[in-house]
Amino acid sequence: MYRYDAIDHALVAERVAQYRDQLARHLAGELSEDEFRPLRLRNGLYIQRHAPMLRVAIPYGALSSAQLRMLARIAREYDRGYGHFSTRQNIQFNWPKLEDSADILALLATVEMHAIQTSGNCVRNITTDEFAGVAADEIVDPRALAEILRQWSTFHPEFSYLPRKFKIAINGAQEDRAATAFHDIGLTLFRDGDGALRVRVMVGGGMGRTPMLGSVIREDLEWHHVLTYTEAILRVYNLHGRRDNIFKARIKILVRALGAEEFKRQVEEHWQDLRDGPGTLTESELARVTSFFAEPAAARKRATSTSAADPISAVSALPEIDARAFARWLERSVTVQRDGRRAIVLSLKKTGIAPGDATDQQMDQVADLADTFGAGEIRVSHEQNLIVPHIDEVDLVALWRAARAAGLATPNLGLITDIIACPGGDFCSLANAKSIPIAEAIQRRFDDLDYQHDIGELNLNISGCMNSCGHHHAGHIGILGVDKDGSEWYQVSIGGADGSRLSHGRSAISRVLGPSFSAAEVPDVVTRLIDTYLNQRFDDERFIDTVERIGLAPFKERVYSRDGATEAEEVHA
Amino acid sequence: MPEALLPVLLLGDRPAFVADPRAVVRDASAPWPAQPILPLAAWLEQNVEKQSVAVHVAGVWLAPSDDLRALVSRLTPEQLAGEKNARGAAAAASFLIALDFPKLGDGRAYSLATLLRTRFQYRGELRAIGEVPIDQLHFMRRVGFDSAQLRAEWSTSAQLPVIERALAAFSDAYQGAVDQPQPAYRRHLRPAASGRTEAS
Repeated sequence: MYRYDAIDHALVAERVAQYRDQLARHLAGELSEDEFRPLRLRNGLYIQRHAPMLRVAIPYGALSSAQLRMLARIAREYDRGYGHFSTRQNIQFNWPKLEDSADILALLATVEMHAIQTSGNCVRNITTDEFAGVAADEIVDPRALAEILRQWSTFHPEFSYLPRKFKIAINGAQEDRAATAFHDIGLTLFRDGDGALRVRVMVGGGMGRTPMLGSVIREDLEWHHVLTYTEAILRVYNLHGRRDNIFKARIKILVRALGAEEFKRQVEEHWQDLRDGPGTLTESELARVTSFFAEPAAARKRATSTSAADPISAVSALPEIDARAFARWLERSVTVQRDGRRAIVLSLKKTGIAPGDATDQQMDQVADLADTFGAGEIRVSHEQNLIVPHIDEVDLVALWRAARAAGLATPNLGLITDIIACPGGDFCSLANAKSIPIAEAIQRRFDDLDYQHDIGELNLNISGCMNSCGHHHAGHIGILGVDKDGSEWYQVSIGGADGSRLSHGRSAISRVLGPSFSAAEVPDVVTRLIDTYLNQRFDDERFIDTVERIGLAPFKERVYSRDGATEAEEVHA
Repeated sequence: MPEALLPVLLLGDRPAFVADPRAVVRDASAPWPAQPILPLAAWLEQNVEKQSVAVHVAGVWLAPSDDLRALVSRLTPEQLAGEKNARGAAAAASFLIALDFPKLGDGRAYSLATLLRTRFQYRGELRAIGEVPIDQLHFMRRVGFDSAQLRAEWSTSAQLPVIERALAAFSDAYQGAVDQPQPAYRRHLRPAASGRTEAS
């Protein structure tokens, strides 16, 4: 993992001191709420329904066990004993006190973490593939460039007051696990015929009120231009992005208004000022940062007494009922790394728990798992689950037992109950409607694992408002909370795709079925969608395939028919 | 107090307020002061003869949507080159460009300043006007501003300790900008991973 040097330590410490000073001036009445807001936002502090919400960056989704234990400590000492892992590789604390916020940031700094630019109209946390560096299908490890971009974007003087927030994602694998098409800038790393590192540059993707897929403006940028080219993109956006209407201020609106060709022309014009200048990335800097991401040679620190001599005897020692559960977990939650070791996914989607939430105790347990069985490293996925890489096959049974005891071994990854959801109206002051109870009602409806497995792989994503933190536009089934005359309604759409394997590498924006539903109706609506799919399913095609093949009409018809299988439904126009 | 009479903050290593007779003219149709800083359109027209009093046009200010090229194409080589060490009061007779921050959070002038200093090689005084919060001054200095017009309540020497802290908040910067085009890794020998783990 990347480790801070003297410069990183100094800048983060100075940031804490700067914020402490700003907070003190605010509390003393010297900085008004309007003046303090942009400053606290750039340190991750939102004012939410109940208390400030603090969003902490987990740059490109990588955590050490020590960092995770610090997050657990913050949850325990400054919050109510839990944290929420978001869809952008951040963790959010919902109950800190504003007065404590500088102390929390100081604690984070001790483990080389921060909340810098996790909100506000600036470049946000750089996100990437949660399997970076271990994935079997990886072409280029994106973490070094992600760290380089993190540093470049941190306190960038020209781009700290953009028209709107700005999100960059990087993918270096065959499968796009970073949803690059849905980002303001989506970078795809690959190697050309000569083995040289190249970058495909996409701009103008995003969700929100106006969901759009990014447009490719550069097919094969040479890697050392990636910072200057990004700078040129941001300069065009900073100068010409709309500032008159918050709903039209993202770069996607500018790209659409100009057209991708004209946007590219302007970027290239500005790039001529920067090209081959001092911002050009050097071979030695890339090599230096890459050195931090060398694979841990001996992941397993010690032979664990709980582990069997070999994987086969470990499994055969299990009672029948456990063997079945273990097999299911093995199928859903364990992937083989390119070095033959395993990366395991710990599900934060247990029914009854808000998707993405983990208690302080669970965070400590995951840190212990990573130290005992892995290399002390944890990843956070945009699907809001935790990954522990570098596991030896022989340890899987012991690890599974520990994960199950911690409530983190639900074998539902990629299934209908592996729901992506924002915190919604229970916490977020932007939300139109609640997300968590909707997620729970759907999880309860589909709680039977055999049924889930029969339905097969499916993304179900829920957002509490148009800001789309729950990625509903990219869900095979997307649910959006809307406000109508002061009450909460839910708009249901299908056919979204996030570019990952589950979507066959395709990116698409989901299409709305029709009029919205009440909260109570949502589980029935989802049941009807699933019933339609199961009736129409051809061979072993997935839900998304059936939607693609037969279109929206059969689903619509079933969902809005009044003589459906369930009774007492009211359809609201 | 009208904007014209406020002291101006110099963003040097030791920030200081100085009196400056050059005054921003927001509405060019109203009478001009003796040393006006004109809006771009009026500056391009330069109808000095219409003014009843003797006027020495001291500079031009741009709104974020103004066209930099229109300005730069009309600058003399002397204006573009600036007068060395001439800032604030000492530069009272010299030319300056001001960039307006029309409201809190509008960051377009950061890019305009960068373009003026890099693409167009402007070396004269560059002043931030409009909504200029103390906590953005360090960013402004990095993109090439060397003076700022703060609002009245902040334009006093009593605010100088806060301003000094704000400007000195960071001892270094990762990325290049106008004040220091070289990124940190080109200026410092930054360490690689220290033999903790080696690729197997």
